[in-house]
Amino acid sequence: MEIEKSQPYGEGGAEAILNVQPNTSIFIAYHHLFGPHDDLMLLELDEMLLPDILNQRDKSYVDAVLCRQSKTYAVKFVGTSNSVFLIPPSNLSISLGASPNPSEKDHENSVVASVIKVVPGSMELVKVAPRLDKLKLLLSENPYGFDKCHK
Amino acid sequence: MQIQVKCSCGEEKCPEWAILELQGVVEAQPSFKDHLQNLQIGSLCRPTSQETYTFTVGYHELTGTKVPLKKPMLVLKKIKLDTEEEKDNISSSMVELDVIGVIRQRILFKTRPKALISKPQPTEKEKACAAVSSMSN
Repeated sequence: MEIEKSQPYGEGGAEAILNVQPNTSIFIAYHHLFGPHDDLMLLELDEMLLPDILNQRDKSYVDAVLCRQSKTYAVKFVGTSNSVFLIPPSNLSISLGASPNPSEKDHENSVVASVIKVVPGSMELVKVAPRLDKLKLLLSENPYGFDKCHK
Repeated sequence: MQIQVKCSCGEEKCPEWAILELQGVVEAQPSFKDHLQNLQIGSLCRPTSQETYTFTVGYHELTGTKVPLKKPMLVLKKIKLDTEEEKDNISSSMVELDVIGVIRQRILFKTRPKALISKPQPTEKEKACAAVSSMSN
């Protein structure tokens, strides 16, 4: 363990993995905050939904269904038997509220990317018809009639 | 119960995360099982300018490629909110999902590992090193 810890590491993270230059290699290690991290989850969604959610154009709610302004999606969890290593960007510590990974701060020519958790699966969205029964009930209680035109 | 999905980073600044996916399980030596933090798993190499990668874990070598995801994935972090808004009988332990990253591609290793048998016998020190990052399927 000590041998590994004392190894000099360069800065890395998801950026390093996504931008490996030809004829080079980087080290993959467990993050110093590696753990189950049950509060981190993956949600797969259509490209077209991405800008809306990221820009908060309108509120999204997850509740076994994900409700958008005009569409409703059922959320289902899809597990995987593969080992899915989730690698955050090197500045992840900021979003997790922890101190920066000291092992990634050493300036040496070996770059390391750290795995924060092994993901058991992800959530997927399936477009479903919204439950309109309640709305229908409310509307049927007070149908629109001729007399209402003159009010 | 409703859970709101929030994003504090915005579309351009949402950081990209990465996924390394392989079949089976990487097992650390039993003595390291409970403290994997900072442990080295292996090395990822891009031998050519193509999007082909090798992942060497101990004496096993995996070959894989970088593939864009069919649909992007959001990395969500569950945040418990201790709200004081109980006037509408909302439960006091509200949960919010914060978007902290987006994943657009992964490096997928779907072949069986190739054993690196041609490696020279390691010295004692290197053995200790290799044991740390070794795996067995």
